[in-house]
Amino acid sequence: MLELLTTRNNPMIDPSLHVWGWEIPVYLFLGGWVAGAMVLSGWLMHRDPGTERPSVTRLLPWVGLVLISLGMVALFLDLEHKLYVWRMYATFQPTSPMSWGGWILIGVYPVLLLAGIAGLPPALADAWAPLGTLARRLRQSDARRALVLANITFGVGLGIYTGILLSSLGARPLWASGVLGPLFLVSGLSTGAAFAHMIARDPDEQSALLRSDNLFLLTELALIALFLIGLATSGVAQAQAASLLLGGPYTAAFWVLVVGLGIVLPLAIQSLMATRRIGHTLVAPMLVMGGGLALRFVVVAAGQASFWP
Amino acid sequence: MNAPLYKYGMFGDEMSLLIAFVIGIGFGFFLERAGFGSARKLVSQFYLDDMAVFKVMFSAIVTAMLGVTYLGWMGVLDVDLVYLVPTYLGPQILGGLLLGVGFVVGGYCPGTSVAALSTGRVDGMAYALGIFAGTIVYGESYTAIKDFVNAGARGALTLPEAFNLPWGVVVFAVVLVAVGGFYGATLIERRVGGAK
Repeated sequence: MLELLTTRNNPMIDPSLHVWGWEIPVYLFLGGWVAGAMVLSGWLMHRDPGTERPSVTRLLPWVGLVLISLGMVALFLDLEHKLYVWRMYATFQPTSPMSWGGWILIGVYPVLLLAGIAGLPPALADAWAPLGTLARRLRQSDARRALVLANITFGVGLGIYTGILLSSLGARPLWASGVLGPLFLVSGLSTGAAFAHMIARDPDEQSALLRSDNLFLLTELALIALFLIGLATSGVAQAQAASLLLGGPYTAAFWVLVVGLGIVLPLAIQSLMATRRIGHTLVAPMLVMGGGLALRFVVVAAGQASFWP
Repeated sequence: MNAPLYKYGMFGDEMSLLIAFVIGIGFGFFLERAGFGSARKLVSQFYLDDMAVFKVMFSAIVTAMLGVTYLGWMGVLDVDLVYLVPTYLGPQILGGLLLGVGFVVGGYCPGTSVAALSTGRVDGMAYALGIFAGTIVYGESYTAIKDFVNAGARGALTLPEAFNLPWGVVVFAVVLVAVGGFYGATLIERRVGGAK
């Protein structure tokens, strides 16, 4: 397969092939957001067991269920042969990131659902006796530990696979980087943290999420630097691919929407928020989320425009 | 080095957008720091008890004008290559009046509304949404109004051309107007502000 693509024997590949439209970047963004929400839910459940304060962990799993479903719809819309989607689940291919992703997505649903039930207010859960019993059972320490572990494991898996999915496609030199997996994971964590501190009502929880988002944004900046340095110092094809973002047609979109508006500016605002020099504002988290979406759009579009010389 | 840098091919479209982003963020930052992210501060201009908007904007105009003039005289900047928005007298007067009414009623102009939005002000957000809506309405109705929009085209008209005066004389006159304006604005501020 790689030979077919790299020796230009496939008329659909050369000189460039844009088979992925808006659906894939939207799915990658929503998947990353849910991944971040799951990891943060797990962390908050571990950090604050049995809290009676209003906690975003009650809400995040339900939001996650909606978002991952919307992402699945986007993914489904992208499929060429929609009726054969079930075949993804008739096999498991351990060497295929797409197969891993398909199964991780299936695993994400019950974990989110159980985490959501565990966080239901007693008045709501007890409206139906079996639900109340399940919610109480899930809040016991052994079940809670399992939920924490499942949230973090599936969250990390979902977040990192979206990047590995791209980096495993050898035909596109821009994606030929091992940094993409961690980059998409950290971007998802940042998006999740931004959304969580935007909706958090408890000041302590909001502050913790805000500080964690700043850490994620700094890490994302470092990973972007590594991603570009790695590509620019590799072979001719990767260096040409990197030039798409370093002076080429995707430069302004990448540096303005992803790095400037999506990371540096909100990091500056959130640093002021973290040190209480300005009040909490919705602008910074919304910029972070916009930056996460822009990152997927730019990487997917620029990747499809990169090719082997 | 000769300017305008973009016109002389020092950088391309992508880099120019990056530079525009940095300049835009800087502009917005200083607008906000000057207090122009607050509708109260801005509309004070129209109640004449705080003339900061007039002073800041006019001093910015004079600074830019002097910079362009001196750099042109020094041979660093080719003034003929600086882009000038073409003049359409009638449509631009109407557009200016509409913007002015919006400014008085809403408390922001387009730039300051974005500065206000960046600090999370809800009125700034509403204003910015209005800008988007207005842009869409304008674009969609362009066919119907394009005769008026393009009426009275006067090209890239400058004050020296309009008054048939040497560039330096006009620059000097504008500086005198600015100095007089600043003095007058301070007197008005003292009188109106002091009367409150």
